[in-house]
Amino acid sequence: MDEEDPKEYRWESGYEKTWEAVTEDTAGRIESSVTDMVLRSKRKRMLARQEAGVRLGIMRHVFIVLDMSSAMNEQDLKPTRHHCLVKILQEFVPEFHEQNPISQLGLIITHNKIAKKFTDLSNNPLKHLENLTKLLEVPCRGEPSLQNSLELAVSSLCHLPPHTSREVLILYAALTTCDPGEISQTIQKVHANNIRVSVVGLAAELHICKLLSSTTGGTFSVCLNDLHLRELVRDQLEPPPAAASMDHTLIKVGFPHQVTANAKPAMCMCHLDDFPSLSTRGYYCPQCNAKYCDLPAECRVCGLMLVTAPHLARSYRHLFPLKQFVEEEYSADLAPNCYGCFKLFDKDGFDKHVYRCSSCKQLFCVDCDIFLHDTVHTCPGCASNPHF
Amino acid sequence: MSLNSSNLEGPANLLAIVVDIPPHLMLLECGPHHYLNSVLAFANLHLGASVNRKLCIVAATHTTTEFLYPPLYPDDQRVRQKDGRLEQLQCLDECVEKRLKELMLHQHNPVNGQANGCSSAAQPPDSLLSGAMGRALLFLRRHIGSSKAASNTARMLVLKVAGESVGQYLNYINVYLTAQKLGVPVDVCCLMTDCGLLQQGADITGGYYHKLTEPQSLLQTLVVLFSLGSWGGGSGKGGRSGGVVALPPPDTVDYRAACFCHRALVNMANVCSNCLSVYCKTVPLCSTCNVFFPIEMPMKRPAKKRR
Repeated sequence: MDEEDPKEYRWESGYEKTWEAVTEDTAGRIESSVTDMVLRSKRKRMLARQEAGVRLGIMRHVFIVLDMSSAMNEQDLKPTRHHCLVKILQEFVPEFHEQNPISQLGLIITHNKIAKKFTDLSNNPLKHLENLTKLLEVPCRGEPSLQNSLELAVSSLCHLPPHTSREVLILYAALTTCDPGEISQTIQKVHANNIRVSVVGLAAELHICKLLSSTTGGTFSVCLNDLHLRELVRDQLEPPPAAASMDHTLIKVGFPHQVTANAKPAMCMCHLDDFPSLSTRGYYCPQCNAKYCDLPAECRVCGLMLVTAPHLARSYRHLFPLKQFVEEEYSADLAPNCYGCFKLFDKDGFDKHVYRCSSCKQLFCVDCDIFLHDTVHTCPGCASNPHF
Repeated sequence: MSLNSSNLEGPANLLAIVVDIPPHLMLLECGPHHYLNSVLAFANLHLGASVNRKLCIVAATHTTTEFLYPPLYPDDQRVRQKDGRLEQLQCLDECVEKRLKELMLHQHNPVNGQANGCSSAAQPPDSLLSGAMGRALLFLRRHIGSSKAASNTARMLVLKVAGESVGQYLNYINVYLTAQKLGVPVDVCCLMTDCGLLQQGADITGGYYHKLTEPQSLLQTLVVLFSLGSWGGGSGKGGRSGGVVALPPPDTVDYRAACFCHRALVNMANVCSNCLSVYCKTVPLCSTCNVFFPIEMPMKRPAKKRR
């Protein structure tokens, strides 16, 4: 089973003395050592994240397969696995759309040995959130079916254009699956369709899930507790490296005008089913002049993808990541303050190490370093220098 | 400004002012003195209105950016009262004046002057506003995070003197998206000419954008629109509706992208699926990421059918 996977099980690995890393400082306190470790672990996570490939699957189409079997009623995650997971997804969905603006998300649930498409692929986070609150009312019962959900996902994903990154994220709580046929054929089919399947287990490691994710190039992980589960789900926010066989094409997009002055009242096309009231505010498709109240959207009339320039720019951060800063020991002859937040370096406390941008040579404190790499993605020092 | 809302325990109001100091400030019809005085008076108003208010001023020139206030060392903040004014305000004036002088001297240093090619008089160089905004944002983040009160409000005010910024688009967008995430509205006041990029920023972050055609009335505009309009009684949570004064409705924002090949704004464009570069025409090769786009030949289709 573990032929390709050299990682040994936890109970087979060596004995770690985690408490020995904590040392007392001169005053006999362990606080500084602990803060140091916390900062270090923060930075380590940041470093690990940045080694992504050059070509990323920026246009993602992701189906989340949610296990709604009776195993979801377990109370090891509080209050129940079901509630905990829905709560995590409610955080995940807006964040996903923010970081992947031209990507789409769909939701499949599986219970009672069947799989059902709960939400179709769409790029509207509000609709997903609405459906997720509805999901809290759905009772969890029966057994899940891995094969049925995969077949359903494949049938929707296989028609997508070849330049998209097709992904399935399975959140699996049960230890069994009830399948109508041979699942290895389905896995082959999934693989043939270039779909990347990642599995997050809520209970334990399952051979079939591991096989599924390793064949299709996805990741497999099992959560320890609710916070860990949240981290594992959030790991899926970053776009994955593009599959080698992925084609690249030019996609036609429209940048709609936002007309308010002398516009005629009209109904927006995105909420047409709910009989919206007439209004003048909105964005107009440059091709067919249909009105939309929110962007990004796919024009319902002419199928044009409608975005704004900042939406595209949101994705650039994945493509042009900020280079890692170089860690330096702080000494008195360096600059007295952090270049970013104007904080005086505190030599004995937090700022034993300072961080230098390799291109503009400015010094930053650890908080700014993490914030710049996690959220801002531009170095203010380089932006303040006309040569870059 | 209602005085009863300012109590010592209340949430802090943070303001970051980003001041554009381009070389052509001299050509402004009211002169640089009036401009800087208005900014200082506005800063005084903000600090003086309540003890809970905090301020930072960042200057952006075409060669560098620098913090003008607060002073780096806390000891500098203790000044002797001279003219019966609040010490804090006196400190503010002195600190800004001192730093500004240093900044100007540094810039007129021949070494720096030559290196930055000041000779190109044809087009006034862009101020490095995005860098200054980035630094102001880091300052605000440190102060929002440091105090326990969760209801701290922070705003940023950007003052821009004539001239369109075209470069550094990505830097600006990254700053706006971060400000949006932190809940910091970016108010923009442009002197003389519109700036589309800053207008987008105000729209994304929920700030207010205003173009001022008469620089003489700068202080008046700042007070009415950006103090009474945005801050309200000091307790208003950020956003357009928080103020005492109802602001005029915002203009339409131009959200079109510029194509990478001609730098022209386009309504419809082709986007590379790998790197999202924008092209106004069909191109065979993406110049940013070197990806070939297979061209679908209509002639090939019948051949496929026969097979």
